[in-house]
Amino acid sequence: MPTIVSVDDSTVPGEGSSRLLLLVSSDNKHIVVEEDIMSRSRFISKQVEGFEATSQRHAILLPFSSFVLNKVIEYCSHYRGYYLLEDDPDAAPPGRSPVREWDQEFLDVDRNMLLRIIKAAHYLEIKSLVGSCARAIADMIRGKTTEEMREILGVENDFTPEEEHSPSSKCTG
Amino acid sequence: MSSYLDLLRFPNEILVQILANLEGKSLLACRTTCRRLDSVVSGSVLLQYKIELMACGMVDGGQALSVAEKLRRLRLYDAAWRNLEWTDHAALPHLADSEPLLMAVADSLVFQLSPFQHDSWTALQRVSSKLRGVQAQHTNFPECIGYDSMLDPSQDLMAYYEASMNPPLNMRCYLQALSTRRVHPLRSMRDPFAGMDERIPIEICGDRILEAVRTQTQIQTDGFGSTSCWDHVVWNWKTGRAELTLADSASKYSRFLDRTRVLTFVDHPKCIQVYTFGAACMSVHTFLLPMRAHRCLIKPSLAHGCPQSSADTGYFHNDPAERLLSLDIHWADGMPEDSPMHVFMDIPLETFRSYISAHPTAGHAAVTVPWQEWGQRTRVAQGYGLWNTELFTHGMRRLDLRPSEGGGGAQLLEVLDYHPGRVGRALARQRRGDAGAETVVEHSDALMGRFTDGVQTSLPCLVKRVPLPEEFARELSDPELLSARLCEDGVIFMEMDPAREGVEKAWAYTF
Repeated sequence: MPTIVSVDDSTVPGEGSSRLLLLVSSDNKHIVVEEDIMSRSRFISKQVEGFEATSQRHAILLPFSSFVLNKVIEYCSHYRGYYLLEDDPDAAPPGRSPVREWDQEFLDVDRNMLLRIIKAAHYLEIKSLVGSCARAIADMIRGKTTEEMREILGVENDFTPEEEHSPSSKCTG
Repeated sequence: MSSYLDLLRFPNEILVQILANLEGKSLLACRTTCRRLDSVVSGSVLLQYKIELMACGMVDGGQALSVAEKLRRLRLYDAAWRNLEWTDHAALPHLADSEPLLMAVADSLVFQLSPFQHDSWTALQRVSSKLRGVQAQHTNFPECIGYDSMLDPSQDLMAYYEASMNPPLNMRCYLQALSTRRVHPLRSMRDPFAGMDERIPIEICGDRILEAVRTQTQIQTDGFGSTSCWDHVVWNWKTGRAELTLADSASKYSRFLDRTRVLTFVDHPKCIQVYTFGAACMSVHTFLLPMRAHRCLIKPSLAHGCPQSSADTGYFHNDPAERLLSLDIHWADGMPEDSPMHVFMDIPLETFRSYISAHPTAGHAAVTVPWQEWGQRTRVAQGYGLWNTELFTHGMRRLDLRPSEGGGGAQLLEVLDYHPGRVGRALARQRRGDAGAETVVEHSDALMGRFTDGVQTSLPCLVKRVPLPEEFARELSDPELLSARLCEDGVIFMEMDPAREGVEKAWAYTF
């Protein structure tokens, strides 16, 4: 029997508020959230369109944990009703995502959590959040040496010794 | 939950978006971490463009072009500087016709005016550029519109200063759109320093204008002569608010470091001061300069006092491409005879900025920066002291006019390129034995470095010598009659006519 968690106690669903969605995380937590909050996610919006077409509403299963999902919902709640250029499907994508102070604080989490959030944001198609996470991850490796970067990114050196001396040879000129 | 997430399992799209936040240098390091990231970087036009921008020492101009097109133009531009074959030239007729005062050069715009009563005019000329698709354009105005002016093509802004005759020298700043020559739509109605006796424009940086205003004239106590007080001021041309006043500052030269910081060069004691203003409260950082530049001494602290030597003068400028702070110090006393008159000191702006942010000292505190810690690339270079550095430095390229082998006047144009990225790339190309490795890497005596530890070394740079264009090929008895100024993608030459003390010929050579 899955537990049902209400996301935000202060929000009373009912008059004037949007309809509710049931999201199910990979650890089988059921989270009820207002449709309005999640409209920033292209993925959810498309699902909702599907509901309207078939006039059938069902739970949306998501491939990540409730811990991550709650974090994403926190982000969406914060920007509820705000227009962010990156999330506008009709606007031309900005060359560079703007720095938002609240996002920097919000994303002050450990590396693994950051990677989980960006993965979830990518899945849910929330471009502004992907952009902010990408910036935060880039901040961790900026100015670091190759060796330090490998450690932070968790990648193995798989170059042959010859390649290692000139991995960039094919692109300079 | 605690499992280590593998970044390499992420789709390329996310990886590119992450890496797009990095600058060229970090991208290069990133590419050497593993095969996957190497292929992500080489497979992305955007990331390639970033790396090549860094290698060419350029910054993105923000034009509305596709990244692929920008990359294509960047490569052409780089090749054009390497080959230095002038592909286009244009005469600048007004300079040759009259005795104009050359007022401003910004990017590829030349602004001239002739304030003489019998022949007063203003001309704005845009030098053409094939690479950037800019057409040559001449605009003449029959009347002289002001005494002094500044241009900022990136904001379509022209600021000029005009004095009303009643009362004498009551100066106002007028702001026009360069393209339409109408009043700039964003300007504020207020000019906070209107009515000041005399105003000297220095620089526009975003919303802010830096200028020097003469506030008062004091009659000296003995009743003979008078001294002027000059304030350096910053005001916002969109709001009309005065934001910073350095009252009666001893600062001789001022420049914007960025949008909220002003650098001033103080004569006594010899130091650079950085004023940070804007939303936060104002703070001042003081950096000491080597007192005897040829010996590269740094005083331990301001508190110990600096020997005052009024014979020393100096000034500095920012590289128009915002990469470099160049200081030019002259000194007169206590100098060994064989020493040059001028010393240029180049500090990468990034290095300088990092010092300011790393030392959040309270207002008016002195920050002493050990010479060695100003960064690897900081150096003192001896110069020949022929010209104003602003005239011949652009984007870490320098121009010198050299005598030909057989003696005589200036015959060769020497372009010294000391951008570390470009030098490094040319060295790599040479090592690989590329057929296209045309550039010579030399240790030019024109960029001699002396460092604190007494080591004297010459700096690696790319040297390209090209014959002067035909129009200037005839022997000039006096090399000082020819001057050249680097513009964004070419060189503007001016030949002076000593008889008229005016410009005889002016030509622009661009790619």
